Amino acid sequence: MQGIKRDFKKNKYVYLMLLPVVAYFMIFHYVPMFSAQIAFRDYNITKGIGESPWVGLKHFKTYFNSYYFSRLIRNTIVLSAENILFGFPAPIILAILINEINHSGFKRIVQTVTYLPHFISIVIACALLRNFFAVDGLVNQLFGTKINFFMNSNMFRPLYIGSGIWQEVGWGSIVYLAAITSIDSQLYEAAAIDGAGRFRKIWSITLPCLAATITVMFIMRVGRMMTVGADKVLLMYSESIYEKADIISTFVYRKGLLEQNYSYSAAVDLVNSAVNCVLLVGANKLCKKVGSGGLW
Amino acid sequence: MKKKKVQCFDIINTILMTGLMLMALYPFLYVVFASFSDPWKLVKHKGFLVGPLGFSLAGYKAVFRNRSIFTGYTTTLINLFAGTAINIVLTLLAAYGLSRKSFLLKKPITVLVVFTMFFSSGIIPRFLTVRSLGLYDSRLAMILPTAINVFNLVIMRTAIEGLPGSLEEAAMIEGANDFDILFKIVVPLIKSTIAVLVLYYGVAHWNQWYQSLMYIQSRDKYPLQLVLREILIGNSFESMAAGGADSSGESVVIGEVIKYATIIVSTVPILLIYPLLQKHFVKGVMVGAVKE
Amino acid sequence: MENRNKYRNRLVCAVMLSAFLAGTMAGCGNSTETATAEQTAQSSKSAEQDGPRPSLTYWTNMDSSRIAPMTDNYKNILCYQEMAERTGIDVTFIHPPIGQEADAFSLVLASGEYPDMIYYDWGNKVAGGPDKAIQDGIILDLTDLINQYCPNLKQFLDENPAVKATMTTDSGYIYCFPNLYPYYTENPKIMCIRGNQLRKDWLEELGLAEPETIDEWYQVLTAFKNKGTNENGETIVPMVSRKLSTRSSIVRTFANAWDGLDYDFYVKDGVVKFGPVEEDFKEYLQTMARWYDEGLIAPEFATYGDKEHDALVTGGVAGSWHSGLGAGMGVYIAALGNDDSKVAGVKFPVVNKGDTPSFNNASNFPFIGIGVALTSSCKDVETACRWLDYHYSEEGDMLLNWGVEGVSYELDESGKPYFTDVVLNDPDGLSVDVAIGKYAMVAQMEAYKQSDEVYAVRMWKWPAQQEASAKWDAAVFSDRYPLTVSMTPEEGTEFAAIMSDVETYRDEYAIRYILGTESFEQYDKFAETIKSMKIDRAIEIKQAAYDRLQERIAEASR
Repeated sequence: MQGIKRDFKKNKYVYLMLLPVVAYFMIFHYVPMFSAQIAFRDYNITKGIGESPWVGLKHFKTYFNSYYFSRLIRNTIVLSAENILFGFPAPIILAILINEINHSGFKRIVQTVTYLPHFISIVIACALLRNFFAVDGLVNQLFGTKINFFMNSNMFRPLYIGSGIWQEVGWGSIVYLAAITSIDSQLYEAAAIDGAGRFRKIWSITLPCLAATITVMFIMRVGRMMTVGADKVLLMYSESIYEKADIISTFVYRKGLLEQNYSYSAAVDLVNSAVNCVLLVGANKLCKKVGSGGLW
Repeated sequence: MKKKKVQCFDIINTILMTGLMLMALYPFLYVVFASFSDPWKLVKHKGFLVGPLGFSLAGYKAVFRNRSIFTGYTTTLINLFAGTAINIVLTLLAAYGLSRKSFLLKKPITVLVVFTMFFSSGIIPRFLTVRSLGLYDSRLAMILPTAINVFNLVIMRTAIEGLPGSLEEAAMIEGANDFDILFKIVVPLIKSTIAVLVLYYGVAHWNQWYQSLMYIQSRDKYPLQLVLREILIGNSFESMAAGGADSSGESVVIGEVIKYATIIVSTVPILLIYPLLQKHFVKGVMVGAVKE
Repeated sequence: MENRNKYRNRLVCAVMLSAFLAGTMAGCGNSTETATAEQTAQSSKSAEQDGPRPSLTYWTNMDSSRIAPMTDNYKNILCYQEMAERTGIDVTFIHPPIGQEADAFSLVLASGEYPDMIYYDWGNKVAGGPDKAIQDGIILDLTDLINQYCPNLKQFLDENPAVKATMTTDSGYIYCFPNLYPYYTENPKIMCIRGNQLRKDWLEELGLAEPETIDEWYQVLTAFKNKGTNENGETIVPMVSRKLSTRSSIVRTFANAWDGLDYDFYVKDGVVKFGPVEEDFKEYLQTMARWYDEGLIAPEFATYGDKEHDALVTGGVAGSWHSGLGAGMGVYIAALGNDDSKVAGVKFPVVNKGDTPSFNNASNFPFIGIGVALTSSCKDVETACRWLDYHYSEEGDMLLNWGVEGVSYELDESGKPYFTDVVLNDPDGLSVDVAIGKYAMVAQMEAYKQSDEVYAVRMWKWPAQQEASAKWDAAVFSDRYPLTVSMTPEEGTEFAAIMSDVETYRDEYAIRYILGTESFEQYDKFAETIKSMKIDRAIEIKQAAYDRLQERIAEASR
């Protein structure tokens, strides 16, 4: 306690600043979190959390013993990992490229237009996707093929990830662009004097200065790996490609239609969160080791 | 001023960017064209759209026939301004506080905060919390529960940590306290990051509907997106079929156009926010402040 | 520092803005009244008053498609205004956001404070079932209350014991005031409102008769395919279907041709069966696979939702499909040029000529679990019962189905009601459904008896629709596994756990067989795998629930 007293004297404004912040998290996040325990109970709305019978690990067992458990985990992880592999660098590259545009008018236009797809609702985006990739759609016409994209399980991931990049690359590049603009232009001038070419400048100045932002975004991305949302997959999959397309959240969604089972979905969420946590801590440690600093 | 030679790189880059823009723009144009199309023609159509199919305002008429659109816009604008203001102020306080190296509780509070990214408690517990605070059916309920987004908080903290410590030391020597440092030194220097967060928070407020579903009962307080969702769903085939009885179905057809008109009505205003914020994405002013 | 003033100003601005907005928020609370011009203003005071009028709160869905465009609260619908006048009871309507009724319902239950009356699918969509809801004290058992305060409903139930049985739970409770679909009247006009349709004009052009057997369907489809293109030169798709997991998929419903075989559960002579593990299922899949292989079924049908399906039909490319009478057939006829000689409904298929077809997807049960329950928060139970019972009286019936006499309907010489011009040819060009919605309840979302005549008016714009309805009705509907069957909570959880795996497997493999991705050589493992997932236990559970229902019906008829 002595430590805190001393610290308070020194940093009293910081304590003041963080007071509303901590209050916010306690009230709106931790207090409700107390109800994550419904995963261990047979939650009954009317009885409330306290009165619902305790069932221990029953729902977790149901989850792990499901016939499809390993397939769902595998599909979720692979989809997420590939999404990170291809989807993560894209906005960074775009930000760098946009930054290299000399004509400021063109630069602004590119920035404004590329982020438009983010605002198209996922429902419409998928409808357009189906339109273009239909058996007799534009893509097939252009290449003279007759590929049935949406019924071929090997096409699922490329389509999912590709369309994700299309939709989010512009929006995602914003945060990197903001970071790039904070880079001191003097550094570039100094490098130019030293004879550095364009690529050298990008490699030695832009990227290192972005490192902090990239690290942080990466860690948080990894920390959400298990929670691939059901929305888009639901719009893109069909039974014939369950093998690669069915993921945890879509299975739980279908299961939820059969029963209003809050406890089961809470158990699933809990497992996912636990895995996410492990991944997050791992990613954080990794980044620290590599020297880019971590989230904490 | 040197004139830059047009390099090969620039040409490729320009081509690439133009291609990307077309890919980004076309779907949007598709939605615009579809929204002005004749409902019957649209329902039959498959494939490309290079213009509206027979010009018609039927979609927009149907959308605006619902008077709630206007209260929806009002509510959303209130949420947008008041909400984003609260977001930015609180996030600034949090980001600054958590960037102070000498702060003893820095690590535990950071962990506390980051942890909340994973465990979300589900709608019922959150609902009960809000209710017990007496916030049910109040406008604050649409703003307070999401006052700080951890993702954004981390972005801002990273930006603050990236500033040279020498600036603060210099200010401390001159007798400034943390509030002064935050608002007079830090904020001007991370303008572009603040602009990004205004964008992120702003768009989130604009698109918000699920929270209102949970916490708001009075229809006149429904935000725009919730109103639009009702219009959309109310005109979809699924809702009619799900209702158990088939209807005479004419409204099914107009449902398609309404979908597109709804998107235009709900996204065009927010699209304007980015161009407005763009001017803040300028290089940070660092020159002259550094006293090495 | 030079920036000092700038930032102080900004801070001040922000604070003032927030304060102003906070003030606006606090002040905002006015609700918007929406009243359309045609609605006569009704005063809410009755002629004489002795004391305050009783008032009730009523939570119910807003009927999205028909009523929402015109109003945002049911109190603005003429029939309710008139009802308030006649009964002297005020009702405050509370509506959840359209499309999110299930979420909103959970929240209402979680809050612990309920409105007096709640309309919901109590039979099927409440975890643990209506029994549990009553035992947990959320809603009230209505059995005695109906006998005491509800003469109209009581009379109906006494006259229709089968309906009463479906409304009673295993524990003997009656849990809601029912929403009754008009099927109890057995009016042939409306008994089956969805079925198979095809392009009559092509059929005639090719000189073919309407197909009745599977083989005949094969011939018709092949003929369509050979015809090649339609009048616009677009390639014909002989059969368009929605994806298999949708109940309205024509490929799925074709299974019924094998003597009522179903893609899911069904009942044959009192025995509950699960289609995919039955022997005939293989033949069914093989037939469909053959059709698919020969290009008779839309190549991408496995991904089709309604939108893609409808586009093909309205685009004039589809040869045959399955849909409803109004929202399907009516729309398609209009899209194909308002020409009803182009579309015809056809009888359901059979394997052997002369057999009676089965159709398991007809939803002609009068009661399917939806209705209005009285909650434990309801203080004035008697008033609530009387108000709801009024709905089943002749007066209330007319109000809710037809609206107000002289405004939305008139009576002809024989005393039969008919809609007035205001409804049938709405001056704003609204469709009939939406126009009715200004004055009366359009076919659901209430506790009342839906009128079969209104149904017919709404569905039947074209003669072709009437003919279709008749042909579809010439089928057997009894193989369908009934809807209002209650399982105990334990049964429910066990059943759900088994079925989520079974359904995933079935959906995935059935389509693969049809598409040809999976060969029939190893077909035996299909049924074996499902059995290993404990389908027999699931069938047992379904059978037990079914038997209990039959018992209740038998008892109610005594």
